[in-house]
Amino acid sequence: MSTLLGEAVKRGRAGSPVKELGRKTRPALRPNGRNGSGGGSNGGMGGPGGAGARAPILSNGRVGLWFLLGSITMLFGGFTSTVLVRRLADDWSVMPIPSMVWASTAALILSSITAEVARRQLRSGRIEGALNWISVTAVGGLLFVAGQWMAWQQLLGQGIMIQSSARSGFVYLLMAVHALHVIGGIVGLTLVYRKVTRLRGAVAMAAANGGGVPLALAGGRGAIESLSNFNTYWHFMGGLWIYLLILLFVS
Amino acid sequence: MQDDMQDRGRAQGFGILLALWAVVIGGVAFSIYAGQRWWMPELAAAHGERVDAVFRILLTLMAIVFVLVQAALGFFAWQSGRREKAIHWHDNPRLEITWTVIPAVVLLGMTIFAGVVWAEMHAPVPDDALTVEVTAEQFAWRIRYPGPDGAFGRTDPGLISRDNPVGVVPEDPNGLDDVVLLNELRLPVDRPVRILLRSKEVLHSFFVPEFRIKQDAVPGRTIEVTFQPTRVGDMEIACAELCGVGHFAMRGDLKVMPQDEFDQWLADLYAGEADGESGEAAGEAVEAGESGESAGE
Amino acid sequence: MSTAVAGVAQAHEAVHHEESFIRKYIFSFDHKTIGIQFLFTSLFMGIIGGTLALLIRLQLAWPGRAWPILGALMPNAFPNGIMRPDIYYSLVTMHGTIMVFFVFTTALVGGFANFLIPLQIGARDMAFPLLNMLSYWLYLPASIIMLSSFFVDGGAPGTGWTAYPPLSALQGAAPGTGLGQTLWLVALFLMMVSFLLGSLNYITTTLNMRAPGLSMSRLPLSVWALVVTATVSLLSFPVLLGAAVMLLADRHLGTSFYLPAGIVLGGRELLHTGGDPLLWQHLFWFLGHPEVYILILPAMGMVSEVMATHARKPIFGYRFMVGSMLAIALLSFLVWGHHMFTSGMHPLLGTAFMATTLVIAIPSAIKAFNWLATLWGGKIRFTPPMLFAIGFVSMFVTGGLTGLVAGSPPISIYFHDTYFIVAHFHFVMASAALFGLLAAVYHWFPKMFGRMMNERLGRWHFWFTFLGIYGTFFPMHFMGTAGMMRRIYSPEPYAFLADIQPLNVISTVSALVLGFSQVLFLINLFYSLFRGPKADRNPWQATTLEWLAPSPAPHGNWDEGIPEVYRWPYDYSVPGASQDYIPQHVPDVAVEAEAPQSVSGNGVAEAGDSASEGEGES
Repeated sequence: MSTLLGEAVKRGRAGSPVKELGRKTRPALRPNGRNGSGGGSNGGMGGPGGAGARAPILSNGRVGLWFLLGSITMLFGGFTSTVLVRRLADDWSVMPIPSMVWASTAALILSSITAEVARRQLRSGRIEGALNWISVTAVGGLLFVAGQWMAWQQLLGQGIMIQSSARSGFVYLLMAVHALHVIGGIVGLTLVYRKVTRLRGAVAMAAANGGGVPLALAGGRGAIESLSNFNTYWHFMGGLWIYLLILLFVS
Repeated sequence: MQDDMQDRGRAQGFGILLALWAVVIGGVAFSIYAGQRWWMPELAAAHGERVDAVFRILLTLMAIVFVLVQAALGFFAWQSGRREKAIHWHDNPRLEITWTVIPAVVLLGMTIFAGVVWAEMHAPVPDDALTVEVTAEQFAWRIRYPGPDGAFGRTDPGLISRDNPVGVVPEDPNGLDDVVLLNELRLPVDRPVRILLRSKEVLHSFFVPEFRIKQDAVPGRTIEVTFQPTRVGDMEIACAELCGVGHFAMRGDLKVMPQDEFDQWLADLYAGEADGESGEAAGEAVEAGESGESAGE
Repeated sequence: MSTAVAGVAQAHEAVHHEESFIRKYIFSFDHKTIGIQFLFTSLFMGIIGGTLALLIRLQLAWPGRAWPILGALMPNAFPNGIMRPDIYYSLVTMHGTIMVFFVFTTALVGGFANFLIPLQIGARDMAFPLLNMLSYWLYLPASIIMLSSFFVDGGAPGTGWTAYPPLSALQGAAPGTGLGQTLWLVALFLMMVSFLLGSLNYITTTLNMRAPGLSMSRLPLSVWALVVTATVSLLSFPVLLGAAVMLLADRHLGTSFYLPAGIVLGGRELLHTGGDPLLWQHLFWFLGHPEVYILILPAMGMVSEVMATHARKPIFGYRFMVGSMLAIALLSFLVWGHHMFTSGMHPLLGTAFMATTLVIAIPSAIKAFNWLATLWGGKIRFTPPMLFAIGFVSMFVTGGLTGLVAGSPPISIYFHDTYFIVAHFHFVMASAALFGLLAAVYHWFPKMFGRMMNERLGRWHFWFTFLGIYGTFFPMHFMGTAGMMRRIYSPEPYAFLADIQPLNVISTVSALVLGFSQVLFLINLFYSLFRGPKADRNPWQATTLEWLAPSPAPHGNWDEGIPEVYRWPYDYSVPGASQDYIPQHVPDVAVEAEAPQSVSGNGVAEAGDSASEGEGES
């Protein structure tokens, strides 16, 4: 392994000859090695930071989620700048808001609320409750997508197709792209659901052994985190939809 | 074994030195030769002097840095191949700042100079500049002169046909005396020119190397290209934006003429339209390139 | 889960997990296997992309010549042995697309980010192994779909790798704008998603799963580069995704995102209205420009690693190297308009983009000087990876300098869409990125496969490639200066290009040498895979963590526990140390009391300065 240097590695001597040598011979004018990122040798800051493993500030899932949301933001940011420039032209038509949009929006917002309820249930150990509310959330998401589809039907009924105007192009396209991301979220939610169901057994066992329901069992925290991450994603989708509503439909 | 590696190391190091210095010398030599044989076509437009000046300065800059850096690279590689032990030297903020600031200053100067020239290239031309409309299409250039009235007739893409290649609207009196040529653009020398650049279907690009100009032709837009020819001669228009299978053959003739000759030619051109028909000048239906693609239908 | 728990869980898995062949080699979740999958698929795509390039060069050097062999192999594309013009345009398009997206991006990032990051940070695998597997299994189908466009009706798209509408949006406007262009868009879409999934992994893993003691300021430059690259891609690729979706809509749903009114094609005026072709250009280049930095940054990072190791010398100016990477990443989002000086966008925008473009030259210059300073005073071992690393600097400087011309609008107008630009980007991308990639392959091959590549073949490969690149691409500067446009099937129609052919011939002959000399590499690679001399853990005597693992590294990476890090990765030739390198995981090194000072008083590193921490052996 590191036997190549094994012989060279000695327990810290009092070290004075070395230390002094280092200090004495460093020319006064040259900042070197020691300081922060120049990271000379092992410097005075040497050694593993802290004892043992360093827990990251945010979990893997959380970090990944934030970067994913950043990515999605850029996607819709690109669309936004496109829409904004396009709006300047004088052929930006009038676009009625299909009434179904109110229903689908309501469904999405409500499902954000139910997602939060689910999370709270899970945090306080009520697995069955959490699972139910997760299901309701998924249904809410599906209702949203269905509502968007019906909104399209309403538009088509008025003769507004995707190619009818610049504005209609954006309306259909951005609704579709957003809905696809919502569907992706629902898929993710089923994975969370499965994670939570796996807790059932563990919780049942713990309850059977008397005592409370400590959710800091292996996996318990993982499930809560996963659901939390989903919730963040889901709220983001909700907020994004409100934003798109304004961008697309407010004249 | 150690010596073997040392020798091989030295040999490789020497090889690197040779290779990089060969690159330097070869590059410079080739550039000098190329400068004689394959350089920019002789300048023929007014703003071109400044453009070429920008290029010359940049080129000098690039050449100096190229030579110094490649030579240094070779030299450092070589001399270190002969060394017993590396020097543990890895930080010198002052040096780093120096070689940050110096390029920054040089580049700033370049930016300012280039910015000034760029602005000059977009200075407005006087209203009495000769205005010619150039419509690019797959795979030809339709050049429209406005006629003695100096006004272009309105166009409607729906009217484009073999006999009406840019779709001049017949009801518009301005268009009655317009003349459309195929792949032929003639200009007077020493007079400002305004080209109204359009496209029929896809992106093309109007490129005249001697004028140092290039402008994409964008469907849905009319883009102004302004310049002043300074030299009489025969030049070519090349398409510089991929526009389909005939892109490579989308060539036009550009002729810069002395003012009086041009006036005569233009008068003759318009005279050929004295019977009031707009459209292609008689006898000038030349097929565009070997691809056999003709415009419109 | 905390790192420790995750580490234990994975180690547990590593020991007890019995994997089927399919799970181990096909649908692998192991970052190393996935990285190698990316590399080999990229290699295959690279052979195709390179072959396309040779065909292009043949046509340009000898336009319209009949090639009986090609005529026999591909009678459709080469009737009577002569290349059809529409085929030429497909070649040009696919060569660019494949090389940029399916070779370099995937090899440098998909390949090396995957392979290196966990190993260099002391992790057992990536943060999201499932996503990682998916990222490869999106790339492979994407490649297949991309290649399939050659075989469909109408052939592969002939609209350039940039696919500017309206040409790409109108079916029938150009060769391959039917199904071929659609497949191209779909393949690109999948590839971009693949890349995004990968990027999530690279960033999360590096931020969260570093070994104890590995602060960000002790991170090898290769990891810095890969993480910065991943961040840039996460923020830039989505814009092209959106643009591609809009292009698909224009093509198939009748929308007019990019199509203005008044287009007359096939004798009919189309019904589109209100779109803007420039929109695509803005969106495309918003990704397109960061994309080229996505290509070069990893190469830069890996070259730094290779150079430090084989010069036995710390990389010069670590902080400035990191800072310049960050500067390049940030600025890369602000320069895209320099691809659009002739597009018809407002001239003032041109001025703005010129300013940002010339600014971005500064961090690049810093890096070039730092590499030079790294080499100076080093004790270089001229191994193949080192040769390629040195060559990288040469290529990068040449290409970078011509970028200054390309970035100044007054003269860029002249050079836009000429071979001058082709020369420029082939020097920075095809050459520099290629050299970075090759340096990385030669350098990390032992860790990947447990064997050494043949040094002599490697050197020959280097020399032929180096000279071949200069021979192929240097003349292109002059073709461009003479005015030769890009993407032309033949220069013959133009009188002003009448004398250009000698340059084309020189370029093509060099390209043939360049192309065929890659066979040396292939032979070396495949032979060494099976018969190369076995490598030990640390054949290059390098300091970074991956060299602690066995060669090849096993599932779970660390057979003796996750290392702990005590120093930065560049303790080479520390004065007074008994060896000319101190690996990162070594806590303390005693130095002789009479350690000689480094030459010319350039500062002394503090090996063994922290006597108080010098506890135990690693």
